[in-house]
Amino acid sequence: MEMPNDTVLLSMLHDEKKRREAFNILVKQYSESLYWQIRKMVLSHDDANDILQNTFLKSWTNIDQFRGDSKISTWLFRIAINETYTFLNKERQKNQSSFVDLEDIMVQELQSDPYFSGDEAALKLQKAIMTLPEKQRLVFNMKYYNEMKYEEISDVLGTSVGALKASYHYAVQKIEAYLALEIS
Amino acid sequence: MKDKNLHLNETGNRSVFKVPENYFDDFQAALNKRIDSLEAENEKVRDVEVESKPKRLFLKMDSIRPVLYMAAMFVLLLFSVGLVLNLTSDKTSSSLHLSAESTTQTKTPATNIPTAEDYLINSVGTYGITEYYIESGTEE
Repeated sequence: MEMPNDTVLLSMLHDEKKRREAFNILVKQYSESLYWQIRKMVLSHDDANDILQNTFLKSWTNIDQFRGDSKISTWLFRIAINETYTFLNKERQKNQSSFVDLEDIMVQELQSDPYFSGDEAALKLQKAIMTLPEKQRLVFNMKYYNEMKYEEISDVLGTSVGALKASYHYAVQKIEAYLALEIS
Repeated sequence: MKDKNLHLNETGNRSVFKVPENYFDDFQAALNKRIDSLEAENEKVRDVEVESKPKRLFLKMDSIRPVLYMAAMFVLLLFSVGLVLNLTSDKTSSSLHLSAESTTQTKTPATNIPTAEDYLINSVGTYGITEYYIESGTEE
């Protein structure tokens, strides 16, 4: 079945009788891409699942407020990113009394995660990525793993293309330096 | 850029994360279940709000009305007792036989604020007060 375009979907979402049908189409279309975006930030499958559910629940309760001033996918991505940041901030607050950084804890847990299939090199790369500030990490993931264009990333994050290019460039430099140090 | 990023190129951008079997297929059903229970909760909250809002106010007034009445009576009682005590407090006997003119003279023209005594005299009159004290004297 062909996916209806944004205009058609939006009118269905604003129609009480067709809202559920339209929402199911959205979930089917975007759940996987949103999931991976979230997963690469939080590493754990269980956490990513919770955040993904919260993302769609939030979009369901706020459908009436979405007027179509951006693409539906952009709107959903923004909700997913905000939910991810909220989750990470909460975890950081819970972890305040600990001497270990949250990111270090997340990577340590990855080693014993049954849903992580990477080797030693892949684990080192994840450690390197987790040393980046959150926003820079997000930019790196979207560019490196998703191979998104800078213009698409700019639409989602509301950051200029120039700033994104600089951010990605510095992220790559930091990761390379970290990996070189680990190997030596 | 590619040659500089030796380590990144070695690792590549392949995904190293897995998901449980049929996760994405089951995700939609799990989400719909949550939405259904959320909608049911919202429906309940809306019904409760519509039914109880006006009644809640009415019931509150009904339950506190007797308390208000009692409080008002208590205040009135205190005021009356205070008034009576004021009148029977240590005054000399000569002050009781004052004529109407002299009672008006005891008023403080400067302030012109009527006292409980003034009020009583105006309502009962000096004759009434005299009668009261004569009667109370004979009873003793």
